[in-house]
Amino acid sequence: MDVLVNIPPALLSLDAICVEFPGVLACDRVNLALRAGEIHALVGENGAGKSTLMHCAAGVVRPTSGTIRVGGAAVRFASPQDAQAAGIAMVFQNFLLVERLSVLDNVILGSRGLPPVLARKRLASAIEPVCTRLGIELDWTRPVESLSAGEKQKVALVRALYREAKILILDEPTAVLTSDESDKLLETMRRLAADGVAILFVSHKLPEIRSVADSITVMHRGRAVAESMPARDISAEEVARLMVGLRAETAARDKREASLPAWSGLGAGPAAGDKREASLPAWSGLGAGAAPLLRLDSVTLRVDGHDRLSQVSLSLRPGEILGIAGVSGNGQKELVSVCAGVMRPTSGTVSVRSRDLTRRSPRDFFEAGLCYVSEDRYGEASAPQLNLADCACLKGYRTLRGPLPGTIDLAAMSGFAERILDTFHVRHSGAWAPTTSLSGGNLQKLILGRELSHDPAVLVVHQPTQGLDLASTEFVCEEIRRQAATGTAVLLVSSDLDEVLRLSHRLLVIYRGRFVGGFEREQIDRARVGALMAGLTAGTPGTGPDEKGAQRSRAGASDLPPEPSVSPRPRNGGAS
Amino acid sequence: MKWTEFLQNLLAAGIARGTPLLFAALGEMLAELSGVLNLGLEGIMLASAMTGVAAAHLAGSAWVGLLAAVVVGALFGVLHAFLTVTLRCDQVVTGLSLVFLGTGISSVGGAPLVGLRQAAPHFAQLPIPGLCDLPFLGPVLFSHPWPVYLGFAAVPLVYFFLAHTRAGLNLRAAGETPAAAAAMGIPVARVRYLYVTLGAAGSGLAGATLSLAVTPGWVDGLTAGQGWIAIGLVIVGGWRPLPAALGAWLFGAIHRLTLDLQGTAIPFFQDPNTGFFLNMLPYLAAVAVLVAASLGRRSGTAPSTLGRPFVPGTTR
Repeated sequence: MDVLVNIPPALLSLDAICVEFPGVLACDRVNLALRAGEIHALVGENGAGKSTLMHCAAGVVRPTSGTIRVGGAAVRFASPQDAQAAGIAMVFQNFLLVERLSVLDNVILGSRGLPPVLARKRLASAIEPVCTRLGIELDWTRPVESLSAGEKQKVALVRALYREAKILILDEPTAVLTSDESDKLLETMRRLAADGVAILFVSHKLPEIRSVADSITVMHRGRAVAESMPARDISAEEVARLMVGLRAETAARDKREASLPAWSGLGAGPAAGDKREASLPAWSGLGAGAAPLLRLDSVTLRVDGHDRLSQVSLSLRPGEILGIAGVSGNGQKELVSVCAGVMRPTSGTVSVRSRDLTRRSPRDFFEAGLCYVSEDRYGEASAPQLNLADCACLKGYRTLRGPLPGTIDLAAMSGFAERILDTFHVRHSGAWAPTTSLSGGNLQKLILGRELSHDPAVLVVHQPTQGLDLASTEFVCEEIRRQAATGTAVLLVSSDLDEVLRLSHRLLVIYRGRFVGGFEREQIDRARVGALMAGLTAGTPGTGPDEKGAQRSRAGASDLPPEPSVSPRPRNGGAS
Repeated sequence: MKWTEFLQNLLAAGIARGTPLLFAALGEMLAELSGVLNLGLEGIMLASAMTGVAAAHLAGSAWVGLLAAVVVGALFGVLHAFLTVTLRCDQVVTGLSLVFLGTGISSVGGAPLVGLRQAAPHFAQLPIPGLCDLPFLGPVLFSHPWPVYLGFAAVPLVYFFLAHTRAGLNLRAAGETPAAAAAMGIPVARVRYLYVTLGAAGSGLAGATLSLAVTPGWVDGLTAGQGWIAIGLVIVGGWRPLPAALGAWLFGAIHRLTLDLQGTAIPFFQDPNTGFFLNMLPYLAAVAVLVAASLGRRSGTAPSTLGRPFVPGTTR
């Protein structure tokens, strides 16, 4: 896609924007120019100031100094409504939809010219053209809470465009989407840009930036280290280098570069994949003959009359990383919950280190040597209201007994916390600082550090790198690998296929609560895995596929060989 | 007494006695849907019931009494909104303090009013010509003081307002996901102020209906827990107007049933040592219905942010 070069004034320009929060200069004289029909990527690590900059443009945050111009005229936004009136709409990462209300009500909520009495049919037909333009179909009457993340995003997009947004700001739009949904979103973005809409989007994913962005702004520590560069003039390596700044360690950077596809190398995908796989040592085969450390036997989990997991079996050997690939929402959450003892299976057994813990508490699982990193960083994995020391000791507090019964030794506690914070390079301001003061990446390091500090025999990790920047992602992956090398059995559940492929010694594909395929590392075929994830070859026609599945089936390839084995436990592979 | 006559009287009284509950519950529903829990209904109803009688007595007009009661209710609402929306105080604590405040005001201010029963002006029965002569339905539905008819009208009006108007949509959005509502330009704080005030005014109307129409006159503790029952009705009704209204009328009827049973010759209810069991009936019924409702339906229809203050600028 070409930049529309000769349109003189930028549709939106941010000139020397500074935003100061107490103690932090979140944006330091940042410039950004956005033209009509342009897709502009805003890149940077977590905490680099991207969100703040976008919030300025969307009227959520008021810049401390600097000028925002729309169509050449300086504007001052007191609220998001002012920004909307100027044609700027932001799609937030969590979409900011009213979950209980219908799709239609969400789209029309607060829009200008809404009549006092709502004639919903007429309103819906007024929105139809927007949907047609986007190539989106929506069921107006469905409550938003029943939609998938991808559908919610469509609602948020339609809502923005219904307000006649000329400038669309997307905050990590693909972070919560499946790869399939991401592709569709990128396609929609291209369409919109062709229509003349200017799009500013934040992303960590360099391949997707390469595929849609016309220009790029890279931020690091509040400063723009590359300002509105045409995408074709800057390589992926360069972007990666810029965004991690000077603080990235050379070794880590080299590894990262090796794993990044070249900016314009169209056929670079498989080659890069090979390199990545090569960087993983084969399974040590440490415990090939040993009893499995974690074992699920025919586990079925029924919630509200639906089988979230049906007849799931797996066994984890010492020192191996078993990856679970799948589109999110296919039972992963339930699988890790059952593995960690948080949910009890309806039938089947769960055992850790050969001890049957099927109906025991999470505490028993923990004491049996199982540690669990939940995807829900702010709910299940930490208590954001507490301080860092509290969060670090959430599981190990029993070893920190004070002099009196029922008390905790605070000195030991802060020592314990400091050790984790230091070992895992958590950038923090003291063990007694509130947990909310950490960025997502640093919080994840703290959580992972806490779990690993108990030297688990089994480690269950769910979406360990979601929303993290490259450096944190690399760090987390390295720690997982290192832990596996010490003999810990790791269950890695992630909807990021690249991550699963990169880390796993063995791979299972989950689809609608069942394992539909198993691969030893050397057998892994990316296309087959993708097809299985979409439910193509192992689809169960009798159960009435939902529309998501149906869409994917239509979109995906269909000439795949039939799925051979559903058995998740070939005992021979990898044990060299 | 004939069986149909008994039923007719029971239903007629139920509808009349249920009307204060209805107004209080509908008002509370609006406040809760906007995200603010107001537990002060009992106190607000008492204060406005007393104010209604006092103002009617002084001005010699029941209408003035009603107006004064509604204004007092609204003032309580403004106070609650100021404490919970502006100062972001704990809504439960604030609501409970309103109960004490209202109860105290009504006791002190109402002391000289006790025994004025016939002296203060009140709203008399207003049979609707034609309709009131219908057999059975006439006495049950169409021979009441006018606030009861207002109650009939209020149910579909509130339903329509919530389901089919822009303001109703804004209201629900502000209570469900205030961050999203704010991002879409809804002034969440203003919306909450408005409906907390309006809701408390509903309690004011309820108090006035009680002391000026249903059981004219003032006695200390006139509401006898009806404010609490109204809060229960909002929950039982799943934050929907019609179920709440049906519940209100049902409780009105149970209230009447207590009186009817006291008039019967059943010795258990006549004995001064056991007769008070009968007075427990409405409250036992309230407990029973709440339990049944929570067993019968999955919880979770409460507005998502009920009880939580909204801090602008947060998106989580």
